[in-house]
Amino acid sequence: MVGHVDYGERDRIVRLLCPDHGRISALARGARGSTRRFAGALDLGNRVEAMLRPGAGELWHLQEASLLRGVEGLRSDLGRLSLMAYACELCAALAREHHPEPRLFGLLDTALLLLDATSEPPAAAFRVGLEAKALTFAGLTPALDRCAVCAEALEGEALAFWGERGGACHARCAPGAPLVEPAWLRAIEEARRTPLRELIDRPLPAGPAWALAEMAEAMLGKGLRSRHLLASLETPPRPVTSPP
Amino acid sequence: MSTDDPLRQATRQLARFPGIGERTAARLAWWLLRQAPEVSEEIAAAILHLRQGMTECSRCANIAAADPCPTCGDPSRDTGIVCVVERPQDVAAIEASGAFRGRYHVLHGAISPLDGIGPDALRIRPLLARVEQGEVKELVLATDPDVEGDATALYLAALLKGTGVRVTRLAHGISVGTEIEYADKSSVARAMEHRREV
Repeated sequence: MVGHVDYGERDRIVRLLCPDHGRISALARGARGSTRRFAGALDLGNRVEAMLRPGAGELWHLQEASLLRGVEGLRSDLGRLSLMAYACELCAALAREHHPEPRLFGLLDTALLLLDATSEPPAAAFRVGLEAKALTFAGLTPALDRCAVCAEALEGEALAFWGERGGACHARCAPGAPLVEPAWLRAIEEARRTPLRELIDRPLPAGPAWALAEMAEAMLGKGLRSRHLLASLETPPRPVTSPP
Repeated sequence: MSTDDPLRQATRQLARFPGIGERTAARLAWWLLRQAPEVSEEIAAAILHLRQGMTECSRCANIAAADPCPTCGDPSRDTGIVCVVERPQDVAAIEASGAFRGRYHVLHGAISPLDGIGPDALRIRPLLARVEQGEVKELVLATDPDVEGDATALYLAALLKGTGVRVTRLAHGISVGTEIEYADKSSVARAMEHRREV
């Protein structure tokens, strides 16, 4: 389950990411009004077995959904919960509709499994690795060793990251784009190639923290809403002063 | 019939209500036509008065006919315990249970990462102001048991950590009257997690 929107008084349109059919939207009748109809299966991040039938136009009808695996563990931690929502939104946005997406599905499934199993929010390399892999599986591999503008090797001069053009580039090729260090680019490429489970506690060198998310947004032509909450959590909320 | 036909106009307007489709709206419009003129006038007056006569309570943000609302204005209620809910309708549901004699605070929503709704969009600052005044001893977080409700409860709990205010959350689990055999996995898991001694 990668998203939902309420529809009318009792129904809900759910969004699913499936290995064989990519992104699917389906009308879940009675999902809001009845606790028995889908019995807790339609929450974000749940892995479900769904029975669908074709509906009018692009929208399917969700007949049944049974919970295979929930994400109860991560729902007691705001950092992991927000990252789960972001992972769902990112993978779903990059997936094609009604087209097999086994790699994006597998990536999200692994990410949710790991987030549910850990006790602390993972290190920055986990999110960046997730973004780099998701872009790669969507056919949008970020350029990290050759200039995204002139295609020449990125060596011996100032470098920048220009998401709209597809990745790293010479600073002279992308005036105004944020400058990056070669060590940051190497770390991103390493995170892209390393299994997610090995990135949980791996730090990242300093660099533009949301460069890959901005690249995904530029490629998709729309913002990823969940990243704002995730970013806001990097600065912990100001605690309330103790009452007198 | 022209597009300005009053019957069609009324049907179009009635169809704007949630859960009312075009056919039901037409049926309602015909029903109104068959009633005495006062019926339409009373309904129209009540709808107009709804917006003019209701206001947001400056203490708890509930929607009521007076400010402060009847709950905040009731001296017999416990001011030390505040139940935090997402919507004004949730206040009515908890009041109907008769199980709570404290005060309320309505957030008017929940943190929803996928909808881009963050803490700033909710009535969290007035809640914190109430806590800072020192009267609140316990906050009962009665947000929905879904991802959005969990996110909101976790955010509030983090904000209030170290203040000395007791922060609790409504119990989740198997509904009263349900047979365990037919309960869903999530509810059974939560019920097991939040089991209590008897």
